Amino acid sequence: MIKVKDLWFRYEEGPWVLKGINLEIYEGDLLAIMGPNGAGKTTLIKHFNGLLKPVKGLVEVMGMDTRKVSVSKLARYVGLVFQNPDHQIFAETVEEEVAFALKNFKFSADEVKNRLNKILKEMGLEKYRRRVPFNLSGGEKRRVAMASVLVYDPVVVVFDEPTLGQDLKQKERLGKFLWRLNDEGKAIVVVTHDVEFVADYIDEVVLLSDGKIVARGRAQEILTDRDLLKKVRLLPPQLAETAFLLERTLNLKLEGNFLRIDGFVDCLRRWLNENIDAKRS
Amino acid sequence: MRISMLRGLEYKYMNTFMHRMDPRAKVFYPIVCMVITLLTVNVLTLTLILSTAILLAFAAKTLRRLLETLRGLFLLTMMIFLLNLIFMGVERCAIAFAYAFRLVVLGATFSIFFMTTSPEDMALAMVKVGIPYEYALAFMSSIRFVPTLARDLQTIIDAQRSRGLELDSGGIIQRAKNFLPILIPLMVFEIRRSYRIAEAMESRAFGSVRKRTYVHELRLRFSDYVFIMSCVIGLVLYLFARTIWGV
Ligand SMILES: Nc1ncnc2c1ncn2[C@@H]1O[C@H](COP(=O)(O)OP(=O)(O)OP(=O)(O)O)[C@@H](O)[C@H]1O
Ligand SMILES: [Mg+2]
Repeated sequence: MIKVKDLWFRYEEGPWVLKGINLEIYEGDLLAIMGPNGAGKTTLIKHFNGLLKPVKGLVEVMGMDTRKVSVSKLARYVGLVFQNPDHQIFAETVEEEVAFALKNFKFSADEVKNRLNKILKEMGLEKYRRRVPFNLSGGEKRRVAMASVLVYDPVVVVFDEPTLGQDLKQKERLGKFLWRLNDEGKAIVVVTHDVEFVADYIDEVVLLSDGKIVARGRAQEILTDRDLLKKVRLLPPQLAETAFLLERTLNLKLEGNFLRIDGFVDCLRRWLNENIDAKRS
Repeated sequence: MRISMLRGLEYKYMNTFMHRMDPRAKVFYPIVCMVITLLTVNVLTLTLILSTAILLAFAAKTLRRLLETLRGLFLLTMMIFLLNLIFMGVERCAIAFAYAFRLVVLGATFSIFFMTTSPEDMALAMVKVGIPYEYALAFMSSIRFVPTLARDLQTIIDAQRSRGLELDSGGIIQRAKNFLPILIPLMVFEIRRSYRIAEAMESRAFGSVRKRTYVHELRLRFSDYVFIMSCVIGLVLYLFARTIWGV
């Protein structure tokens, strides 16, 4: 759906921020982009709907060269949810705010009503319909911002730091929600520093550092590679760290997917079974 | 382009004689230039002033940014030129041109002052000439936050364009309406920011001491007096030239 080929980018005459990025995103991908501050993550995702155009190289969205198509046309396919909802909220009611994109994309009045009802219900915003969005809490505003993008049903949804300042419950809701969107066949891209969130909910990780992609792979592989994580200034998730310590101190090497707690228990049980069986015989 | 124009107000630390000069001396330059510029419609005089601005910018190593600012001003200038042309008629084309040119000259001279004077120095200078510190501070922070504001503006534009807002489509009324989703978040955001800053300052005991002391003191040096004299002489020369040749 999105194809990035040898993308180089810099802001005006500044230094290169993106240095030869190659990346493909397909239907059904559930992808996290991680990396230190200033690595160029936000800069990269702004290329996905043409807000920024490549200085060198090529970005294609649904086969369209982003340099040749307007942002509003690309935005129809690629939804970008920005980090700070205060940068977009302007309407007098939540309802109006959420319907903004639908009006821009010239949906019919019936369609606007249907979609609005559906998304407000899904995001648990029904009771705020007529509230002034400026006065909602941070988490609620964030949900309004998400709803205002998801409402027009883009096929790729990109979130910039969606877990920032969210409590555990909200993160869990968000994670489950991402899964559901993903099950519907959408490609989901999440920019984040939150390794635990990625370990719990995301399939695949792209590590970005100093404008270059240093690794792409299953979350299981990337988040257990301590050297690699150190290079991009991330701490491994707790369970990966536990597994590492078990191996080093007890020589207990877990096999399989142990990033989520249920997987971890399974792996441990399997190891115990095998080793106890081996001892018995 | 709208944003690159704001950059002409942005101070960057450098160590040239323009940067080191006492702001009280430096401010004579844009003021004298402004007086002359508003008195004259003579293109030659205006060109002369513009060339002093370019010279000073060159000496202060900010020529490139000055040119960028002027490029940003260009659109506005063209508009003024055309409006003047429409209302005054084509036969007074020269005057219309001079009016537009004035704006460029004013923009250039003030931009040099702002580009080479740190907001702190400006505030200090204001205090020195008797303006209460609170006002000086308010002025200083409004300049300080221009780059931040420009960045917020860019992010807001990006966020709304991502939701399908088209800034340059439709008739005049539609276009004006299109700016609401950008202006409203910007205003709300900046007002909230100013409250946050005020709270942060008060929680660090801002305003609890009547008499302030300053780490840096401004002192007018010999070179500063020379600069002031040159500006005044420039003004006097112009006034002479004006009475003699009417330029
Ligand atoms: N509008 C801009 N103008 C000039 N430089 C910019 C602009 N936006 C970002 N940069 C620079 O580009 C680089 C990458 O910034 P970017 O915002 O893409 O990083 P990031 O990976 O999203 O970081 P973070 O984790 O802090 O969000 C930084 O060095 C930044 O200073
Ligand atoms: Mg970022």
